[in-house]
Amino acid sequence: MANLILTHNLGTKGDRACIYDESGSLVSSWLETYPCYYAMGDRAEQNPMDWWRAICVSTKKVMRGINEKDIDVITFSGQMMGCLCIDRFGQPLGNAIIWSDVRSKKEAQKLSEQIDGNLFFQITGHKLSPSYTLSKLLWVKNNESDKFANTSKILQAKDFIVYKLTGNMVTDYSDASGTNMFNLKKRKWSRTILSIADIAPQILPDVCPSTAIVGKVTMEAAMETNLLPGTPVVIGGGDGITAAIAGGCTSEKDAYLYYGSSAWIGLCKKKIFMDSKKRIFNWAMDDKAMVSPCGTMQAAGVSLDWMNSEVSLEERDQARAQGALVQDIIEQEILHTAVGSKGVMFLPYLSGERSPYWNPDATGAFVGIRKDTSRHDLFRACYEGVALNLKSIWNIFQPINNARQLVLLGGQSCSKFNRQLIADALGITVVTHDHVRDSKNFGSAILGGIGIGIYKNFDVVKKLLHYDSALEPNPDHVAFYNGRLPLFQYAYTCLVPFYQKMRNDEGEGHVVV
Amino acid sequence: MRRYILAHDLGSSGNKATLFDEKGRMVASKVSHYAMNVFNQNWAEQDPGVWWKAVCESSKSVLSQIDPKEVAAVSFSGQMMGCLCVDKDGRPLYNSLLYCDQRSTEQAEEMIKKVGFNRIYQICGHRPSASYSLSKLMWIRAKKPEVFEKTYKILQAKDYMNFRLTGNFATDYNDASGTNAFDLHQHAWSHEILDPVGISVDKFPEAVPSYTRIGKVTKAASKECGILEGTDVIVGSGDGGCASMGAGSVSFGKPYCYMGSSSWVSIASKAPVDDPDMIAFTWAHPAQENLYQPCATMQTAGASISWFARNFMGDESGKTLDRMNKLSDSSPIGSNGLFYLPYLVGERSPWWNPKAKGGFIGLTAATNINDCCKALFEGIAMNLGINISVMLKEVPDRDVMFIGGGALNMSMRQLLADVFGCRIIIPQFLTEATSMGAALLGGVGCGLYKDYSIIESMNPVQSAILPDMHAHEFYQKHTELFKQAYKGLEEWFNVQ
Repeated sequence: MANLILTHNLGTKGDRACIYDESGSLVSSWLETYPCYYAMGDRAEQNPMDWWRAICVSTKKVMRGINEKDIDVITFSGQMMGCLCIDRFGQPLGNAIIWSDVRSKKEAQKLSEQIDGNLFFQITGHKLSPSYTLSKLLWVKNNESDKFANTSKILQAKDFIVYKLTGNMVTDYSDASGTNMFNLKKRKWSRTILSIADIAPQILPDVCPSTAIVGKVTMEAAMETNLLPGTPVVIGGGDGITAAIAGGCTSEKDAYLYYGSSAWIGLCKKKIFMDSKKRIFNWAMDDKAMVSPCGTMQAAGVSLDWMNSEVSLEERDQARAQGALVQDIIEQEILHTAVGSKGVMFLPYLSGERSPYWNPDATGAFVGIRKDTSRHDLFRACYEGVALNLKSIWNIFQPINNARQLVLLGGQSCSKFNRQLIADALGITVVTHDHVRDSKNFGSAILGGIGIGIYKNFDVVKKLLHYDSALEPNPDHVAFYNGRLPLFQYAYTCLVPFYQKMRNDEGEGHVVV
Repeated sequence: MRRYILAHDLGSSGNKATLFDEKGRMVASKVSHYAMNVFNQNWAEQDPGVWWKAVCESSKSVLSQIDPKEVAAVSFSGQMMGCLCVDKDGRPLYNSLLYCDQRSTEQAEEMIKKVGFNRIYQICGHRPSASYSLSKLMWIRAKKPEVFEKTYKILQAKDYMNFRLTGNFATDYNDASGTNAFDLHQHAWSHEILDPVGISVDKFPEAVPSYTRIGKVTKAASKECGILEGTDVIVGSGDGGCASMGAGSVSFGKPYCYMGSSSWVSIASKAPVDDPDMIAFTWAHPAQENLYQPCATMQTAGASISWFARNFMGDESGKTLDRMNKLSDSSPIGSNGLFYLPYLVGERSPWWNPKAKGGFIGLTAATNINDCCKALFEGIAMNLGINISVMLKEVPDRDVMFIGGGALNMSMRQLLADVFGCRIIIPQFLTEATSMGAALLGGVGCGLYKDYSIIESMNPVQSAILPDMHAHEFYQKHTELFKQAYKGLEEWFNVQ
């Protein structure tokens, strides 16, 4: 066998390594997990050396029975929006602050007073928020000045691994577009923003296309990974973009939904989508002329996991007895319950929310419980709550969206119940394909393949994917969810004063007893 | 020697006959069940004949254990706010419409229009609504004119039993104060309410103090029920009033909390509560004429816990409650920011919003089942805390008697102490209060008991739970967040 592509997706839970052949078929796969350190309600960190160790292990595991000479290219997909400080010897300065960390609220707030919000959005394609690299870096500057002084480069997760493999510190368009410091149109670091934030441009790595070959595996890295020295490394992209590619989202007529722990809807457009309320953001695609407008909700699969683990004691017992998955049992139980959960609604804001509200203080809720509400109604409400929140995001795209069907990716897209619900809630035909579970790796394989010339361009994606038969929305249900959405959104609006009061009281130390 | 009081508790699902001796000890008791006809969603009726049958059956059963000659008096506690139309001879003309019957909303609107919402509250101590007797009688007039025409009196459940026993028509102040037609300040039927809606004051029976002897058991009645002819009959009171008496709230102050499926807090005050928000409503106190009984009722307290147990714990057994207690105790005070709104069937006090609904607010990825249990209990306790705060400012007492099945819940005992900032007092008998109240009125009415203080030996204090005042301080702030969660969603409830 020859012409194999080795891909890594550095997620929050672990690193998944996948090897593909030229036809896009998955040859082997391995997931190596690593911890995530949560603290103080708004902090989330990971040790970059855990990433590297996972890469080394997963590479060896996934290469079992494969000759390292057959690997034509190594490439990456990675979690985005982080902040990892590297010193001048290439050593990490402590843990990386990762994407879900929102400790830098003050920094983001201060910066927003210094720069016009609309201008900022025009430059970066993103709202200014503590979710991004910039305010995290400013937090380091304000709170860990020694560390900041010793910082010579800021890297994203995959960029650090690329550095470990090749000795070169670079990043790609897509990850650069998740830092809040990148000029999306010019594809350069924004001097305007850097000067206002007082950040020296040298601290940022050079930016190249996601398909660029950025080096070769060094001797030293080869020793640790058992890869062949000199194997080409293509930088790859942030997981927002690798997912888009796997979603077949390569032309202006495409749309995809990634439904994993979090969930996002993405499109592919020639122009930055300037949503007037800034609920949507834009990633840089490999093609300089294209961006991917995207809206991400925080707790999608997380909400369902929470339901599975916390409020379904009976189903858990059943699952244990039958050796089945809790979620499968729940979906069996609620298959025939009434659409609309007898009026109960679930607000899926278990970790605050990004799109459509961008409110880190939001919390989740069940509202509308009556005496005759059953556990099954609450279960269905969880699914419907996530779907309605995605519908909120979907509707924002309305002015630019001309997709005829939606490609579903991510672990939750394996549930047929969920696929039909998404079709009904969003009112669109839904399809999946054979790479929904390894979508980010698959997307990066395309980048790697194009990078070394195996594939000519992105048109190859739709040829390599095997789509399943489309699920059509049920018109009655579509009408129902259309009517339901305003009420769902109004429940959130009604709770905003409560969220504010909660935050104020926390500020006074009320919650700490 | 005539040394027994036969106390009847005429409830919505059955009648319980209990014999108390001269020292207030329970000697025998028997429940006879009957059904409630619920139809058209929220219509609810009972055939008064089944009440009488149950009273006869249960009386005979308990009397078989003693010499019936030794019964000093019969007395009643009864379901309230009903409407039973009887003719001149006391024959029922229609089923009794029960307290939970909501068919007369149109008539309630009519009386509000004619007399004024606030004015009715001021006169009778209750918000005007379809729950009370008057609008139900107006419904009969509108929809069953042939019944209304023959109606001589409208009676409450226990009043009809008293009529069957003695042949006399009467009601007591306490039951009268549950009709929406009684002037609480004058202790008289209100012309100001009844005249504008065109109902004659004569349709209502004479109202007397609850301890009044209204007659003796007739020969005909004796044959049917086994109580000896000539036995004294004391009018008794509504079950709300009797429960207060049984909870020891027989003199000024004396706050208590009852928790069953619903839950209320109440005190004995010198005047109806003057509350601009009208959170509480006020009954005439059965113990004496210059006392009032302000009360604030929430709809789903125990019912919330049952709902949760049924849906998430598998069953509603005592073992399950123990398990929920353990889960709840493993969550910190404040349930990690999770709130439960206990409004599964709308709410009376404090919000008076039939459209209110339940909810869990403040879920995070870290929320677990322990937090859910704790929030469930805290939500109920804080809701009651809002209610009792209206009462506590009227009285100096800071000991709150806790009765009803809900008082078996150990976590709830401590939570009420902490949320109220009061000592919680647990008596020996938790579910006998209404029967005891009826016995107190019977015993004092016939002279067997010197005064109501016998309740202290009838139902002695078993334990007291001290509040943690740090927790109390926390819950005062926490309750503000709880209120905000409800108030924020109020509009949502209305449009849903």
